[in-house]
Amino acid sequence: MDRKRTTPPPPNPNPSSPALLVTRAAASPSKAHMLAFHFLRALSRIHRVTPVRRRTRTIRRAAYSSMARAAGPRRAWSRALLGQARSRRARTLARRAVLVRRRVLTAAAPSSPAARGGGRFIAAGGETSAAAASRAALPPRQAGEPPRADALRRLVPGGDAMEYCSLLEETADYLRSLRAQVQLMQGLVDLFSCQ
Amino acid sequence: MEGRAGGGGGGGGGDYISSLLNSSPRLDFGLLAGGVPVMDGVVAAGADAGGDCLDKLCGDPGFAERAARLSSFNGQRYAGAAGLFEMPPPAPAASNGDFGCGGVGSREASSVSDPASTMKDAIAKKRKAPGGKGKGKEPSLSTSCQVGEEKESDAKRCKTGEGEKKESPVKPKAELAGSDSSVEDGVQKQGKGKNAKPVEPPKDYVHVRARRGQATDSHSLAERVRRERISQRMKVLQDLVPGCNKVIGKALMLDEIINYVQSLQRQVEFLSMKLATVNPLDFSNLPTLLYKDMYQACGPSASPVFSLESSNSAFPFSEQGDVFQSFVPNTMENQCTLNQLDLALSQATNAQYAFQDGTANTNLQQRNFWEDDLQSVFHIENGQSQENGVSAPSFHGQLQAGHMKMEF
Repeated sequence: MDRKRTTPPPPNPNPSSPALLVTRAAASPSKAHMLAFHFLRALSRIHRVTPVRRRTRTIRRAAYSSMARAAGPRRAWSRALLGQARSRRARTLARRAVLVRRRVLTAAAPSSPAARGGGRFIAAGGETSAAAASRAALPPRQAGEPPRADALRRLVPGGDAMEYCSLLEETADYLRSLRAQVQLMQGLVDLFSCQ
Repeated sequence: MEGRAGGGGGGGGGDYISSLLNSSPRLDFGLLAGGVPVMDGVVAAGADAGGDCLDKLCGDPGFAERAARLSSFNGQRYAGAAGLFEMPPPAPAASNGDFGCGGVGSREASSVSDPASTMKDAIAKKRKAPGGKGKGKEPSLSTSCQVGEEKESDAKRCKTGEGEKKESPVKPKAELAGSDSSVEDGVQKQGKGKNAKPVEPPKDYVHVRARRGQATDSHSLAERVRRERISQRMKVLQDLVPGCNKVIGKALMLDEIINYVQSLQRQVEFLSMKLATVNPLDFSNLPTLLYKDMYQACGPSASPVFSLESSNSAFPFSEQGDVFQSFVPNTMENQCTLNQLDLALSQATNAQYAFQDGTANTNLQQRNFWEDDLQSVFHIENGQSQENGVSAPSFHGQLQAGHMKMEF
């Protein structure tokens, strides 16, 4: 029953584990598949969990994350995106931990744990400042690149640390993924808005 | 020795080489020349000849560049079809890169040893004829390397003379000469490079070739490589970005690209806002179906879910059916993603019905169908719209999704 399949699926008599099914689905080699899968899964989770007011941001982040996952780790921009998401999550957790700690400690009110908590804040903040510093230090990398290239670097995730040549390549791949993502989201919106 | 040169010049098919020979009173070079004709497989003779005359070329001041040329000839020759200039970019680029690197550092040992090594490699690997000759060449090459070192200044001087002669290459040799010039670039010093640039017929090589009047040191070579790569990528980007064809010029194109990326990102933001306001009731059904269907086998664990959904299945199904029917006129115009989603979701719902049949193989098949159809569905994005018609009958045989057929 395979039409234009590349690999026919192995007939799986026993109800396989979700991981197996997922891998089987994921083994079908289509980026659009992966994109839809990740995004739809994230979307359903968001609609279940997140309150309405913060959904836009979360959905946007989910869109970029699903784009990055579908593109795979072979691309620099996808790695950068996933790294950003991970650091953001870590920062949020750290901040939450700090807040909790502060709340706990204001009762006791010693200075050192507050300093430690503040240190975590500083570490989280330092993460971004270090990134900004590296970004500032990096621009005059190539002589041949036009002055508009830094705008492109800001747009493409992970674009700061690249040479101009690879920046163009990453931009092309990023554009393709972005376009696929926009098509997917547009289709979803049309699908759901017509109901 | 001069006599041999004359004889060798006639013996080989290499007019180019013979012209080289006649230009400079080099000994035995005809034997080398005999080894380098492009057209035929006189290479075997050339191998022998090369082996012998390389021994004799110890005192040859032009040995450096000739060895370089020869190796490049061999490399080129084997890289492409004989006579046909079909050069895979990496091969000549690699060889040129070698020469370039050799040229950068010291003209002395590296430039000669690189051609020697490449020549050895080219000869040893690809020549079906005496491979032993190629290996035999190597020790002689290495010995003559040091001798060639001392004569570098002479090499440069006579190189200019040969550069002029190279301007009349035979067309089939043009490719060799082309690579040759780049080889020479790597081997020559900057000053002499400008004089000895031959005017080559403009073939579109992928690898770097020094043009007339251009600097030939390795830095500029690398720059040229880089610029060509950048232009290639800009072409790719030009195809990706709509409306970039009218714009000419790197700066304007870059602006266009930046605008396009920004617009796509704004679209993502806008669409995520719209998706956030989507009715969650409608929403949670369909992706959950997909989600569950992907994650769970149609085993008993899934049955409560499916039975629950099938209990009010009449309602959502008909609703979706109406939705899909209303989508039919849209999908033809819209992006194919919509179609895919329709199909995917419809198949998810069809999966319920298949499950209700209860047979194990139905489960299997429907799971297979689901994946299969999902794949075929997503193939639509690649423009194979006939998938629709193909995928439709498959599960229609199984299911009563009669009105589903209409969307296809």
